[in-house]
Amino acid sequence: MIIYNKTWLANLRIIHKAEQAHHEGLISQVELTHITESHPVGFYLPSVFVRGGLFILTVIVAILSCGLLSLLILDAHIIDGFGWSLFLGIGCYVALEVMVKDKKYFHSGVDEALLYMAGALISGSMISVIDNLHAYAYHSGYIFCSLLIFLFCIFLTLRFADVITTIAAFASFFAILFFSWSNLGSIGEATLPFITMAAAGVLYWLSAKAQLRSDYANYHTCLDVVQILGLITLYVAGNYYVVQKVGNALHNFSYEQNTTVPFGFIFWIWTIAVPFVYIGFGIRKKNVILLRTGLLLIAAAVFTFRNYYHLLPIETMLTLAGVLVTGLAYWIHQYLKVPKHGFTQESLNKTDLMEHIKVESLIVAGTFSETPGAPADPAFKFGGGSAGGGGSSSSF
Amino acid sequence: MNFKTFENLREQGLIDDESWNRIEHRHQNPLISIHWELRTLFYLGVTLLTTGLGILVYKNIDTIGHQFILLFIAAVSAGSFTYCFKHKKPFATTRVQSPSTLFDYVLLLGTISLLTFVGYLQFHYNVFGNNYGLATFIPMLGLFYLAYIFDHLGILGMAIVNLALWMGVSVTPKQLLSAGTFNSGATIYTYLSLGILLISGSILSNKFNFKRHFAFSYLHYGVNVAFISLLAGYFYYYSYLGISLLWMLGISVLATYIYIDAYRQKSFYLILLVVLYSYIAVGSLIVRFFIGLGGELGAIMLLLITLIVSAILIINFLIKINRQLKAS
Repeated sequence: MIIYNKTWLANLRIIHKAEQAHHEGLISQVELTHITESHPVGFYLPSVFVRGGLFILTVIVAILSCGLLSLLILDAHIIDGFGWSLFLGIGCYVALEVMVKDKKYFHSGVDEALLYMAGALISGSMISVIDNLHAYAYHSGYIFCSLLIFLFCIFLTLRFADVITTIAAFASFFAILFFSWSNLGSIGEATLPFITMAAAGVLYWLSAKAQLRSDYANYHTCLDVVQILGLITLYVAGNYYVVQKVGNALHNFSYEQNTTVPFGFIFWIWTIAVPFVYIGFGIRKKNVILLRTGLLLIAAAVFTFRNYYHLLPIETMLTLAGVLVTGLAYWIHQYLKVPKHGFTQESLNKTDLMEHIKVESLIVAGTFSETPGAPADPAFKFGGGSAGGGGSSSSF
Repeated sequence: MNFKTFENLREQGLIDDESWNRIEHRHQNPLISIHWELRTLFYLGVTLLTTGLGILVYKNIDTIGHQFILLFIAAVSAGSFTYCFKHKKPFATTRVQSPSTLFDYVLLLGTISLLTFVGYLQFHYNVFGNNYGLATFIPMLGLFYLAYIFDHLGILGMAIVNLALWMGVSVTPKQLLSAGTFNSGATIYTYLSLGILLISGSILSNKFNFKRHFAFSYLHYGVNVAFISLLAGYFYYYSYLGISLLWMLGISVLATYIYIDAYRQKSFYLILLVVLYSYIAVGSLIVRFFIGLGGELGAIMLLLITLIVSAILIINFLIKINRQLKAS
């Protein structure tokens, strides 16, 4: 099913693992060279910046080509229909298949650009077909549309093992669930959070299980993504704010209305406790995905709480939170001076580090750039940069 | 870590006994690095704390409380710098590894609270008077000094941003894109001189082997600012063909120089910047040429074809360069 050469993919995985082991000081340079030489990989693998450049340029070429073709047949009046974007999408897809097979591209920027163009054009034509049917009863149009896009994205994911198509497939799956479940009337609406949680939990569990099987190894990254999204969805489905707002939307209340959620305390417990449960499991099972998702969701829990209860003015909150977070980081730093319980604060991948330091310096310069100095206008406010950076995930 | 992979490699005789023992040991005692999680926490904590304190002082400016807060900020800053000077490694002209993650962020905390403090002094007591140039110049000098003696790339970035502020412009990508201040000749010349200044900074760092690893930061800001200001200059003088072509000449000179330099340093990032900015420049020349031909449909199609072909040529060029640099 997958379009890329499977032997090369397997060899690439082995080389990556060997490189990692080398960075961690487990195997020597000579061994790494031997392993690399005995596991040939024929893909064209550009460096990350070249990959970005190729992506941008390919998108430009694809868009301009579509424009040119549309201009050529402007007089024939077939651009207006869904068929034209379907045609262009299929064109992109064919180009993608040919390029990957011919030029041995593997996630090189070119293939990704064509893949997303094809995906967007073909999905767009599906949406416009179904939109023309005017099937509004029981959301049948939405359900059918989501189903088509879901199947299409699953196909693309299986064929190209791409992360973005995985995300699209995941989103369309929950769109199907949402639209069909809310058809069930008041029972459906009341149980919607729970069925979403159940589905997300099952998806997380399945993808975590699937990752252990070697025959799915080509989709390792995609399964990572499903796990992360599954955990986030599992949390969000029970988040008080989300439950309240989705409830408002389903009952046709206005968005701002502060309706009370039945059994609200369950959702409050969920909102606050789940991030810590994730982190706890992450530490116990030494699972990086659980750990990082949990850390990220703590921010979500704080924002949710803050949205309903203003215990302290914002600046006091910020200062206290700053002291707390810095203190926590300091404690971890001191606690893990020597690696304990299988955790270390040292970076195991030294080459990776070099790249990150530069990124980090740019983030720091970007967020703390507004130094006080010239109060040009009376409304001048000084302060150490803006809080907008947040940057919770930017270093990962 | 996948143990099975290494078992297979061992069977193929690609891993010797000594390494195998290490791998087995690691497999039985897995080690997880939370290096970046910890750094993120520190970054978040410092951001929250300094932002909170900054707003606190500002909001309480007319009460007695603000002097206490100010004292607190001064204490944080002084405490941080005491820690840093005590734990700092001796100065060297080459790269000095930071003693620890904690050190990096204590330094950052001290620097930002110092800036807040200085800003407050200017705001309330007008220390620098109405000499606003001085009010940005002094913090800038301070930042450069701190960046060099503590070897901190993040503070160097802040210093560069402040250099731009002192010259009256801004260089963070967000502001560059959103400000849209490229509509006056003076701004464009300021940006251009800033860009050239920063690029010279990187050349000098390399030449005198003085904190050579700082060269990238200078070059990153310098190249972006220089290219953007040259392009802006081209469009600013668009109606004067001769002058606008001079700006294009500037772009080609800069592109050639950076390209040669990047090729020697094997920096894919710089090559990418050169290629993309050059494509924009060439593209705008092509568009100008075809618009000169008149707005016929045929001309537009020819224009599209030319743009497509040139983009494909650049793609092939990038692919080739990548192969060459990887092979060498």
